Amino acid sequence: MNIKDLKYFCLIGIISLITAFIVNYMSPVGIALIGEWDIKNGVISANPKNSTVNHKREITDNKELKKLFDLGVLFMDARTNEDYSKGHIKGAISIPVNKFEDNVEMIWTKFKKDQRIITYCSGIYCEDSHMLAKNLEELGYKRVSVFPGGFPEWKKEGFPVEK
Amino acid sequence: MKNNIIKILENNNIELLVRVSLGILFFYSSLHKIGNPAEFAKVIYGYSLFPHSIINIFAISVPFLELFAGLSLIIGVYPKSGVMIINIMLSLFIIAISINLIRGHEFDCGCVSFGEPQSVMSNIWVLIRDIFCLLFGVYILYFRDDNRKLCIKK
Repeated sequence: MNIKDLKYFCLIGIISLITAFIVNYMSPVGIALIGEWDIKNGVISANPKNSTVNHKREITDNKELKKLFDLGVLFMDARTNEDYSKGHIKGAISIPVNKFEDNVEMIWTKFKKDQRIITYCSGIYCEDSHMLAKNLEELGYKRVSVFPGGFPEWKKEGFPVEK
Repeated sequence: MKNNIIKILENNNIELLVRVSLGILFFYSSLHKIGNPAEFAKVIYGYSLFPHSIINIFAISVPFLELFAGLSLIIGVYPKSGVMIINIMLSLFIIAISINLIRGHEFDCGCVSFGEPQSVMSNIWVLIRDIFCLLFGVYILYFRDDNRKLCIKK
C-alpha cells in the first residue's frame, strides 16, 4: 500500500458518494436524508419519495381501536393469505396488498364508499397497511384508518382473534 | 508443500479469478439496494446498531461504494484501492453480524435479497461467507501489482 493507492481509494470513495447522492436526488424511489425511525410516531419508514405512510391515518390508541372493533367497524388484513390463515383479528377480511387488484370488484360490490375501514399488517415495521389504505382511498373510500401496531399488538393486548 | 501454495497464490490467473468474482459479487449485490433504498434502509435499521440520523445516509451511500469498488475489481482500474473499500465494508459487516449473533438479535442481512428476519443459521452462513470474502480481499490487496493480469490501471 502506498500514497497512490490511498489517493485512488479516496477518489473511488468520493466518486461513489457524489454519484450516490445525485442518483438518490433524481430517482423516483429516492429517500430523504433522514427517515422516520421513531416507533413512537407509528409505522417506521425511510421516507421515500413514493412513500405510502401517512401518520394522520394512524390510530395508536388501542382502547379506541377496541371500541371501534366492538362497534363493528370493518378490519382489513393487508398481510399474505398464509399469514391471515395463521391468525387474524376476529372478523377481519383478507385483502393482501399485492393482490389488491384481484379484490377491487368484491370491495366495490360489498362495501359502500362511506364504509369505515381499518387496515393493519404485521406491525410498525410494515407499510402494507398504509399501502392498502392508500389503494382504498384511491378507490374513493374516505373513512380509512391504519392500525400501526397490527396483528402482533392486537394479539399482545389479548383482543379477539380467530384462525 | 509450502512452495506449492506460494506458487498457487502468486499465479495471476488465480488472482484474476478471485478479483473478478469478488467484484461481480459486490456489483450484483449493490443493484437491488440501489433499486430499493427504502427497503435497504429498513435492513440497516433492523441491525439496531446505528443512530437513526445516519441510517438513510448509509442506505444511500453503501450501495454505490459497493458498485464502484466492485467495478474497479472487474475492469481492473486501481483494484488495490477498490479492494481496500471492499475490505473495510466486509470488516464492518462482519462486526455488525457478529454483534447481533452474540446478542441473539434477529435481522435481515439484506446482502442479496430482502425479506423476513433470517434464521440464526443463515446469518452464520453469511458471516462465514463474509469472512471468506475478506480473506480473498486481503489476498487481492497484497498481490503484486506488476503481476496482475487484465488491468487497465494498476
